[in-house]
Amino acid sequence: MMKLHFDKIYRAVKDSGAEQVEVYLQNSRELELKVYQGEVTQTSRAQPVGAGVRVLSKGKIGYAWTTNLDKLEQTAINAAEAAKFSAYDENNVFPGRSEAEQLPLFDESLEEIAITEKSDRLLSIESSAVSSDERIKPVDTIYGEDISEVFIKSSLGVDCNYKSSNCWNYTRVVASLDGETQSGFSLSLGRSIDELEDPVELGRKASRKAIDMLGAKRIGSQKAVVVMDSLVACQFLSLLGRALSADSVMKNKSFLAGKLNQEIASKDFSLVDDGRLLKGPGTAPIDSEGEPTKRTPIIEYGILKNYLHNAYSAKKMGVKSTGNGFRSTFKTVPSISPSNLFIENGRITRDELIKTAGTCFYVLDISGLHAGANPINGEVSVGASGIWLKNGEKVHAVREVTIASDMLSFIKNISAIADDLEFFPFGGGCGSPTLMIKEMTLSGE
Amino acid sequence: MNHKISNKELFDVLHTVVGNQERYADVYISGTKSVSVTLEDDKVELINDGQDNGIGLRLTQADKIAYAYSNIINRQNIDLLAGEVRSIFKVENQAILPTLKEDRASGQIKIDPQSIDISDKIKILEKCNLAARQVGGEVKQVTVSYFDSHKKIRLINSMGNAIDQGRGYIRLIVQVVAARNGIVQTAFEAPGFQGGFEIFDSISPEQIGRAAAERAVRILDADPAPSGQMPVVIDHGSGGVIFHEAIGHGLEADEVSKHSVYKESLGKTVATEHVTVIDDPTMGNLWGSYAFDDEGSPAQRTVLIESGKLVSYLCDRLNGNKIGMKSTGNSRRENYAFPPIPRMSNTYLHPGTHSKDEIIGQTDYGLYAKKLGGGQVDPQSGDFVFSVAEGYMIKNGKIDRPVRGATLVGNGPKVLFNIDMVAGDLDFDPGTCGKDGQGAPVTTGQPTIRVLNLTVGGTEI
Repeated sequence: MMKLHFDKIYRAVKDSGAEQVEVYLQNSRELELKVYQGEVTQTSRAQPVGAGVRVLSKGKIGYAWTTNLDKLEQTAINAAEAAKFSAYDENNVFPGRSEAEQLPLFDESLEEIAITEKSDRLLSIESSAVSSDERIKPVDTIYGEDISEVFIKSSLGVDCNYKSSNCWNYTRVVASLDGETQSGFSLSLGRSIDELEDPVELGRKASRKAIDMLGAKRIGSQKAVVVMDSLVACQFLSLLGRALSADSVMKNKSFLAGKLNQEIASKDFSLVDDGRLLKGPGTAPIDSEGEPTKRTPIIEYGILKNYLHNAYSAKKMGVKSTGNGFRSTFKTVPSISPSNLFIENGRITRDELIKTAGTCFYVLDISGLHAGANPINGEVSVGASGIWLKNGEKVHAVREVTIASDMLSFIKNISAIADDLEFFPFGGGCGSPTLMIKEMTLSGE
Repeated sequence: MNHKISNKELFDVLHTVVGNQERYADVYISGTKSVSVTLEDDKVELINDGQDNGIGLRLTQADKIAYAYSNIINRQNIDLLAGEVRSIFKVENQAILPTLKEDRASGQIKIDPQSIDISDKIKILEKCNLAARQVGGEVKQVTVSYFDSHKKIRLINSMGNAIDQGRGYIRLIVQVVAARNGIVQTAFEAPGFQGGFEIFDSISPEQIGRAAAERAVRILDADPAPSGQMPVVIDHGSGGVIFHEAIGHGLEADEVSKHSVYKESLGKTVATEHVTVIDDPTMGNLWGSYAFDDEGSPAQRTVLIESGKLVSYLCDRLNGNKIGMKSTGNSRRENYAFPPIPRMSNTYLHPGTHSKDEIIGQTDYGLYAKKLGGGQVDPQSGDFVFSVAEGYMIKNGKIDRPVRGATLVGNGPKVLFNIDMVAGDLDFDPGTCGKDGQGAPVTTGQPTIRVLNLTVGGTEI
C-alpha cells in the first residue's frame, strides 16, 4: 500500500516545489476492558489508522496529517504548502537509509486469547483485592491491549516498518475506616499476557497500598530521607528525560545545558537510554524518522556523557543522531524523547535499602507532577502520600504533604539503589529500581 | 462534513443495535480540521495542518457499555462496528424507536480561520514574540504557538435526537524563559476562546507576550517559598483550579456512584456560606462551552453548591441513572475514540461582596497566590494539589516579597470550610482537564478569595 501511494505522493510534493518527503503511517488494533463489582462494565474495540507527511522544501519544514488514507496526496500537498511559510534552517534534515535489525516486539498469541479470558483475569484481580481485606472496595480494574504497526518511507531511502504488541493491567481500590477513605493502585505492563504480573498479586498490591494509608496524618515540615519505589522514581526520571533533549539544551530550555562531561551524580551512579532493550516499553528497532535505535550511556560514573538527539539536533551540534527522534502519534513531527531511560540495578534488596534508610518517608504516590515540575529549571514540588518509617517499621501513614527538590540535587542525593529495576511508560519509557534520596524538603504543618 | 451517510441511515443502524428498548445507543461522528504554527528561537519552526475524522458507536445496557470506533466512515464499516457492539451484548431483534428530531448548533464563528492566510497567523506570533523579547536581556527564550480548530459533530441517538454541531477553538500559548546569574524561571500565558479569528480584535498578542515575559523576569527575584500552614489569598481567574480539584471531580456522577468523598453529601452543608459554585456550558465563547453535550442533551447551567449547601452533581445519563438523577447535560468526550463521561465545562465560584484590597488588607501573614498552574485530585480521599506560578508573601496586610516554587496541598472538604472572604472580581482561565485518558476543554473561574488555612509546600523550612 505504501509503495503505491508513495510514488504519487513524491510526485505531488515535487510539483509543489519541495525536495524531500517522509511518510509515517500507523495502524493499530485496540481493546479495552473494565470490570466493576464482579461484572464486565465496558468493552471497547477499535482499529485506528492515520498518517503524517513531513516535507522539506529549501531548508524549510511543513507537516500535515490525516486519518483518511485516501487523501494522502492532498495531505502531502498541504505539507508542501505549509513548508513555504516556515523559516529556513540549515539543520533541517531527514535521516538517510540505514539497516536496522528487527526486534521481537510482537506476540501473536495476544489477539488469539479470548476476550473472556482477559476479562476473567480482571475479575480475579478485583476479587483478590476485595477478599484480601474487608475494608477494601474496588474503584477501577482495567485491561488494555494495543497491536500497532508503523511504516516509515522517505525520498532519501528510508523504508522500514515494525509491529509491536502491548498490554497492561491497571487497578485502583479504596480502603475505608471510620469515615476515612484512602486509595491504592497497581500497574503491570507487558508484550504478552504471560509478561503481566500475577492477577492475585496485582489485587493484593493495590489493597496493601490503600490499607497502609489508613490513619494517615499530617506531618511537620522538615528535610527528610525519602524512599521511592520504581513507579514514583520513574516519574521523576521522566523530567530528566526532557532535559536531556539536545534541542532543549540548545534553546536554553534545559537545566543540563553546559553540563556535558561534568560530574552531576555520585561516582557509582549509572543512567542509560536503550532503545533496543526487549523488556522496555519504549523499545523499537527505529525511531520515528527511521534512524536505528541504540544504547546510549547518559551518566557514567557520575559524569554526564551524552544528550539525546534526533537528526535535526545532531546536525546542529555536529554529532550523530542517537536514534531518539520519536513521536507519540502521527499527528506531530518527530521531536526528541528517551526510548527507555533507566537507572541500572544496585546491589542491595529493597528491604535492605529500607532498613539502612533509618527514619524516612516512603512515598507510595505523587500528585500534580504535570503542574508542579519545571523541566526547564529542574525545580519540582509535588503532592505526596506514603508512610513514615523508622528502621524499616511503619510509624504512621502521611497525607497532605509535598516533597520538593530540584533535579540536579535529586540526582546527586540518590544515596542507595536497590536491585528491583522495573519499567513504566512515562515520557517514552522509563525504568528505575527502588531509590533512597538522602534529602528532600517535606512540607506539612 | 460527511454527507454520504444520512441521519436516517445511521438511525436505521441504531435500530439493529439497540434490539430492545432497555438499551440505548448513539453514533458520534466528528471531523476536526486543525492548524498550529510554532515560533521559537525567533523563527517559525513548524506549521502543522491536520484532519482528524472518525466514528464512535456506543451501546449501553443498564450500566454496561459496549464501544467501537473507527476512522473509516462508510456504511460498510459502520455495519462492522454495529456487529461488534451487538456481539458484546448478544443483541437479537430490531427495536422500535421514537421519531427522529433534528437540531443544529453552529460554532459562533464570525471569521473562519480557514479563510485566513497563514502569513496573518504568523504575524500574530511575531507581534507576541517581539513584545516578549523587548522586555529585556534576561529573556532567553520565547516559544509562541497559535492553534485553531474547527470540529464538526454529528450525534444520533436511539432516543431520536439527531444533532449537528460545530465548535471552533482558537488559542495562543506563550512560554518565556528568563535567566540571570544562574537562576532560570519560566512563565506562561495561554488565552483560549471558542469562535473564530475575530477574537484577535479583542485580545492583544503584544500584551500577552509582554505579560508572560514580565512575569518570568519578576520571579527571577523571588525567594524560595516557605513551608507550612498559613492563610492563602488566591487571585481571580486561574485560581478557579482550586474548585476544579477540591470539589469539581468529586461531584462527577461516575465518581459519586463509586467512592467520591462527596457521595453522601447531597443536601448537606459542604462549605461556608460564601461559597456558591456553578458549572455552566452556556457561557458564550468561553473555552469550556457547548450547545449540546456529547450524547445529545442540551447544555444547562447547574448550581452545584448554593451558599455552602451541596445541591447537585454533574451527570450524564448512564451515571446519573446509577445515582437516581437526570442528566445535567455534562456528558463529554474528547472525540469519536471515547465513550462520553461526566465532565466539568466552565466551573466557577460566584462573586461575593468583598474587594481584593480588603481581603489582602485584613491578612496579617500569609501567601498571595497571584497565578496558579495546574493541579490534581484523588476524588476518593479528597486530597488535592495545585502549583503556584507566581506568589508573594503577605505581611501586615500588604503584599511583600515575591516567592517561587510553592505547591499548595489540601483536602477538598476541609478547604471549602476555610473560605472566609470572596471578592467581586470574577474571571476565567481556560485549560484542558484530563480524566480517564481523555482531555476536555474547560475553564476554571473565581473572584479573589481567602482560604484561612492551606499547606504551602515550599523548599525553605
